[in-house]
Amino acid sequence: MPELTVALDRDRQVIVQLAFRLSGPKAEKRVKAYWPRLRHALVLRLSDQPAGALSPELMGSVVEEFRHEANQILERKSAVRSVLLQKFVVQVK
Amino acid sequence: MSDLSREQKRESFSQWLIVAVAVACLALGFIGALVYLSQDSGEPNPPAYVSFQKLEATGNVGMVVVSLDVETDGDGAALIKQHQKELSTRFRTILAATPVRELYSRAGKEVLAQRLQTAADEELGARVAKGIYFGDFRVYSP
Repeated sequence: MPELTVALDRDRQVIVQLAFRLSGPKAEKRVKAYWPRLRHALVLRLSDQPAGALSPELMGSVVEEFRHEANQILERKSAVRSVLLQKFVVQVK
Repeated sequence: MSDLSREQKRESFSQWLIVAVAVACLALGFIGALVYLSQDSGEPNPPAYVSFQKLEATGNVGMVVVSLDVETDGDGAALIKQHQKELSTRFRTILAATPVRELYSRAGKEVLAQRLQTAADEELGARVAKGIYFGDFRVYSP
């Protein structure tokens, strides 16, 4: 997954990069087809967190919740088996 | 005479056998096609998207740079591309008019997506855009 940058408040923005472990080639095809929806869900989920509290520990639960949501979007129970956080940077102005 | 009759019967049987095999092959092919189609119909057609990269807008209290995708179907994609300049202008106008402080929260982004959706509906004259999905969402506030 390409990097994603989301403004959290006037002082902070977060840059994340995720990798998906998928159930197989069909799941990969589906992730590609629904990619903008998945990315949008991640943008909203990141925007849902208190900016100051967004830590690597909190990101662990954010990523897990996102995995559940991704499987709902893909309409497959376990297409996304796990989501790995490859990059997590909070930039402060 | 009897030999001739037997020969005719054998020929007739052979013809029937060829026809029966051909019909069976056709039936198998038909069943196979039905099975394939029934499996294929389980997978809905994947949506099509038109990307709007780095839409930049400056309002009173900051600048916002957003990339987004508009979901549509195959025919809608051509229509959106045809109106891409007009849609970009409308989207930028909405972004510039939205107070920057409203763009940080989830609720603010959802409201913005709804406004952009309405603008797309007005521009395209029908519900061609089936969803607006954000990518990079950068806000620069002094």
